[in-house]
Amino acid sequence: MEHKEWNWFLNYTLSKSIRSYKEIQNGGWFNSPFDRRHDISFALNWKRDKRWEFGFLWEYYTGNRISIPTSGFNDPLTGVRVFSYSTPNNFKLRDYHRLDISATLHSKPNSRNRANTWNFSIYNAYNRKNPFYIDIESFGFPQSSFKLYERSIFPLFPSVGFSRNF
Amino acid sequence: MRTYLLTFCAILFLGCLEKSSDLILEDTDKKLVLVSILSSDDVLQIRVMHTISPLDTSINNTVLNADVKLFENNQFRETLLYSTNGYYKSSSGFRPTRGNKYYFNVVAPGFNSVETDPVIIPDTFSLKIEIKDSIYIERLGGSDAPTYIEALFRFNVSHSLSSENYFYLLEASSTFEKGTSRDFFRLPALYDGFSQISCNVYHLGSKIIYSSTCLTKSPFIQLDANGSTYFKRLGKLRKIDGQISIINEAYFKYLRDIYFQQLIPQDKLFFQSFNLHSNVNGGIGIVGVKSSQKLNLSF
Repeated sequence: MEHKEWNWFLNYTLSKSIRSYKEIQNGGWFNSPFDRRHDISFALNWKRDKRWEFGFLWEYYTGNRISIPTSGFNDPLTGVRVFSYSTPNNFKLRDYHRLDISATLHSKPNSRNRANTWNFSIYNAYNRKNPFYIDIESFGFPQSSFKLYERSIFPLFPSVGFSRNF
Repeated sequence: MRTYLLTFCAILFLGCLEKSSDLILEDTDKKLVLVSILSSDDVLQIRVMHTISPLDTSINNTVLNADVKLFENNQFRETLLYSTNGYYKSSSGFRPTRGNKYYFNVVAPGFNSVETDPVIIPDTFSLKIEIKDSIYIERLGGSDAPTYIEALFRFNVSHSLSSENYFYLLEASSTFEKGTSRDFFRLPALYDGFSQISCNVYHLGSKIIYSSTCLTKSPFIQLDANGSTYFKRLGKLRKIDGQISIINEAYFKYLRDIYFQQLIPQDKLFFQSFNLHSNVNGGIGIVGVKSSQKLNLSF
């Protein structure tokens, strides 16, 4: 949608992805690793004047799915720690969302019609620790204890850009 | 050079951006765990536990206040009493009878009641073990390599059961009399194919005993006892003790699944959905059947 100096768009996708294999869970249905129920993106661009332009982008989607055991026990026959999974891809990572903001400064073209553009932007403006992957550390042998970590990358990330038109 | 430097700085910078936080997992699927291997040679007993969080390091998950009922040929026989080490035993010292059908019903506060599939103790059972051939070799290692001793046995095993749904389980340990130094482990060989099966018992050091388990459907079993001494001092294989058992299909599948889980690398173990065979309805675990015969080889 466009309203003079305002531009914006909003996208929303609702989806469900499930799978069934004869060999797994007796053919029962379970979530696909790509099951992403909601996916929203919203962008807003404001052109204040000929020099300044501001942009906002907000993205949100349901967390990805992975398989994580729901319980475990120490098998008395073999001494092995055995894990039990309710269904494949049973665990949903935290939802992903972030806001990017940017400000762009256009300079006036000079006598040779060369213009400079400065761009100031902040990726993930509210420093959301979005889960990227799950990591595991084990201690002892054999598999005596485990610790799980949720790793995230790209916290608040400022950047400055410069471009010159020839 | 400049490109490499920039790439290195970029990787270093991106690496610094990574944040991590602990992930807490609760046991969201708390169940009773029953484990019992029935044999006409042993007093009937069953281990009753409950599942714990996959990240829980405690091993004390015994259920002490369970009501464990034993059924024989679909008739209630007795309530088992808690004994020691998490086991509930028959108060009368009851041993399962060949040809009879057994199942358990277990109720414990805070858990759904569970019932096991019925299992039948093999009726007319006789196990025949015939040593096809044996080889005893002393192998010289390289310049610094230890000297190895290998003892190789091939058995032809047969049993009187008509059903196809029985498997062989070989558990063996061996004793070497000399040597020093370290021990090492080797996963037991477990297969469900019909090819030749090799079960290994490995040693490195003085009187170190390492048990090996071999699970197979093949009537042709190969057992390797492989010992080694350090610094070229020759050890001697003294004896191999073991037993060959006939087990039922459910027990076979349970052991096989545990073995496959052990094959998964630890860093991937948590993220590979894995099925553990169980014949405990509403819970998890195994009620298996075993009939064994001892195996003793002395040198």
